[in-house]
Amino acid sequence: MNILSDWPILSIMLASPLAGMLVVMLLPSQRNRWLHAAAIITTLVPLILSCLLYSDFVNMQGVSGYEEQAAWVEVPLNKETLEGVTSYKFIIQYAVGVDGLSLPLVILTALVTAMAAFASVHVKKRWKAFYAWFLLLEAGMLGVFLARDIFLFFISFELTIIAMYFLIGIWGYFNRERAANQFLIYNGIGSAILLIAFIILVNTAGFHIEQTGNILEFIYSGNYADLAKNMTDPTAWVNLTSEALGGLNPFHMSDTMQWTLFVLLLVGFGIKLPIFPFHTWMLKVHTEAPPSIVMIHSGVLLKMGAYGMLRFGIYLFPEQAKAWAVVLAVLGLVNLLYGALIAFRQKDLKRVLAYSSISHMGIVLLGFAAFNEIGLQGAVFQLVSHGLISALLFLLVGSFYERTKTTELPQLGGLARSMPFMSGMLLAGGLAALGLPGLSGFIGELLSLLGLFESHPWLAGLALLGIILTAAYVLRSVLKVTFGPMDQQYAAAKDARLVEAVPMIVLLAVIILLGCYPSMLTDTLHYSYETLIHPILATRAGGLANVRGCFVFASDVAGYAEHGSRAMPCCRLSSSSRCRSAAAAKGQPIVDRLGDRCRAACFRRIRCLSAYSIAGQRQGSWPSY
Amino acid sequence: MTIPMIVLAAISVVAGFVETPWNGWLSGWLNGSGAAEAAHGSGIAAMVASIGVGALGIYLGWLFFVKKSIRNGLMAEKLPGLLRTVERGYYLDELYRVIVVKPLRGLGTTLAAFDEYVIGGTVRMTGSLTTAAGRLAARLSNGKVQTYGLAALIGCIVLIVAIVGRRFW
Repeated sequence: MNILSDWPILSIMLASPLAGMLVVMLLPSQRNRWLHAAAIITTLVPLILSCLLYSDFVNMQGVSGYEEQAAWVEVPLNKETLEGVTSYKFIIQYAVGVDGLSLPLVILTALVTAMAAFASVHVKKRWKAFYAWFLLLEAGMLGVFLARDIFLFFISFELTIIAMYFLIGIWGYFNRERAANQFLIYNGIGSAILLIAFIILVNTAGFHIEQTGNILEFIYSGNYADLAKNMTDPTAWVNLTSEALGGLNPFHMSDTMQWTLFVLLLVGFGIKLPIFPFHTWMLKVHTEAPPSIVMIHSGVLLKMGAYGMLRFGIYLFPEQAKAWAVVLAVLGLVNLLYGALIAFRQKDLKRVLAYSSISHMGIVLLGFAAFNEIGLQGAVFQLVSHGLISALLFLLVGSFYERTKTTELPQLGGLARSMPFMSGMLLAGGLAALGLPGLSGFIGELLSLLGLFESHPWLAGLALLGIILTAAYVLRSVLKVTFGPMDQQYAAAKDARLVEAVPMIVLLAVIILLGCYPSMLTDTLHYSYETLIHPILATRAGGLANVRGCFVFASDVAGYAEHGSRAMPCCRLSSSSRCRSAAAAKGQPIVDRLGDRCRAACFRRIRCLSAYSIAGQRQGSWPSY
Repeated sequence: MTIPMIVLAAISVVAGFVETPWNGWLSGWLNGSGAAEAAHGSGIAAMVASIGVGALGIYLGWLFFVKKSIRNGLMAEKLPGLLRTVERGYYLDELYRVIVVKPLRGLGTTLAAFDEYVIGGTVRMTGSLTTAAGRLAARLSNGKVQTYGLAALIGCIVLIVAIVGRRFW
């Protein structure tokens, strides 16, 4: 029996932390060791399952997509005004799935959470409640990456915020309650913005009509596949203007509305990422939350922002994303340089790492802005890589704090003498963060910048400054902590215990593994780029590059520009006028497929060929020359 | 330590010969063809000059330290400036500190202050403004009918002014 195909493996993965949470709640509250062990064992379940999924995904070269669906909530709507409609309803589905984009992040979540469970050894009070919230947080994070329904996504997203609020507020450091409140309010605003965007999306792109025989169903659904299909389908209701329909179409998403949604998603997820200037809450969380929670926060929760931005912002609105590529790049550059420069002047190790997170998330934005396969691969690689590195670094900071009771750089020094193992780990983690070849940080930065050099070489050149600054602030902090004269009070401090050393070694091992063998990750990304993302980008963002079954002459594209349709100025390849006139004579717009060279040139030059032009061409309403 | 140094010295004597004007093993290996690429321009002058300068240096060193025909300390007397410049590595570290490190530190400090006071301040101000607005609203909802009546009256006046006023502009 094949577990992967016969069992609802994604649901098991999603449910396992919740089951573990129940177990934790049933255990006696004074038994810290039992609770700790239960939490660790629970977090290993999703980790093992996600590794199984990964091996299968790679073996099948990405064709084995896992999806599980069930109707969850169905709200019947008033259909009396509609004639001949069998049902008119609003559906929330329990839909989960993985593809090459979410799989690496699911593994990252499972891994970092398991390691954070190990690292929770320093929690000193109310263990039962801690592990219960901790496991709920994991369920929420897995839900975010697995969800294929926009509402399931949103609910999971909120679940993480609630769990985080209590985890910071109860188990954090001195200013924990203030930090938790700011976290909750700031992220609440972000969520509100996202909710607005999601509701508009469901009301436009989520609407479709299903007809089977005599049964006619009008459905609003938040299923991601439906949304993506409707956004790319030129005949979908969301893409038909009222004029084209010859009547009012309330589901049409105008250009302005598309832009509004794109910006809402950018801001909503940008708060989570965080994009400058929405980062202040995150500094507080990083300094006040307990170490194992900061590992998760910096390792996984920030990545949810980037993941959401990619899946909902960039994939559903590729035209807008492409038109704003420079804006994204500049935002990324600001994050990168601003974070690095400030990290250079911080006196608290935690704050150095917090600003370093801002800086590294800038690289993710740069990868998005590159808007090509390499750049997007680099961005996701950077997400995974930074998740691992920052988890390792914050784990170390937490462990150092337990021994020194301070993270102020001027008070630290010489710790390598009493804690050689942890100091070595700090150096290794620091080197990974600054992008030393052979460690995962290098690959993420390299791919992102390589992608960006193709599209915006000047901005990529400026971004290189950030890499140098990163080296400066990382080495400065590592030197201050581990080298130099040692304060005598730290002389008796013990090095890492086994339970602390295990997550450090595992995280560093994965960092080295990804650094030396990056195709482990880039392959899965590549598969999903081919099967999932590319077609969306191709049909919507003017990618004549790879539109199968939609063959156009380059001349026709140029023709669109001349005809002043919605297509932006595009490439004017020397097309044979012979072919053009032949096509015009036959009245056939679709004549031939583009040559490879021509396609490549087209892809480079075309700014934006909107879905409308493709719509027209498929429906045969080709403008006459 | 002597044996490793001897080994390294021996290797370094030979190592340069992997790529010479008459023998392009390295470039041949690098470009994969096995054949050396044609030299770009003639580097003869540069070669001669650099070998000449190197030889001059060796000769000077020999005069200073082996033959001792030039008195030790002569440089310090005659050309103190040159000696100091060379000793400080042409002041490159100092230059670097002034041009790169100091401005970056300054920029970092400025940005950190900006982050703390401008960005953080805006966030804090938004928070305190909201609290203040809430406090004000709480004070207004005091259960006195007179207050509510006054608020309703003000609202009515605003509405009337807005509706009537639109006719005039």
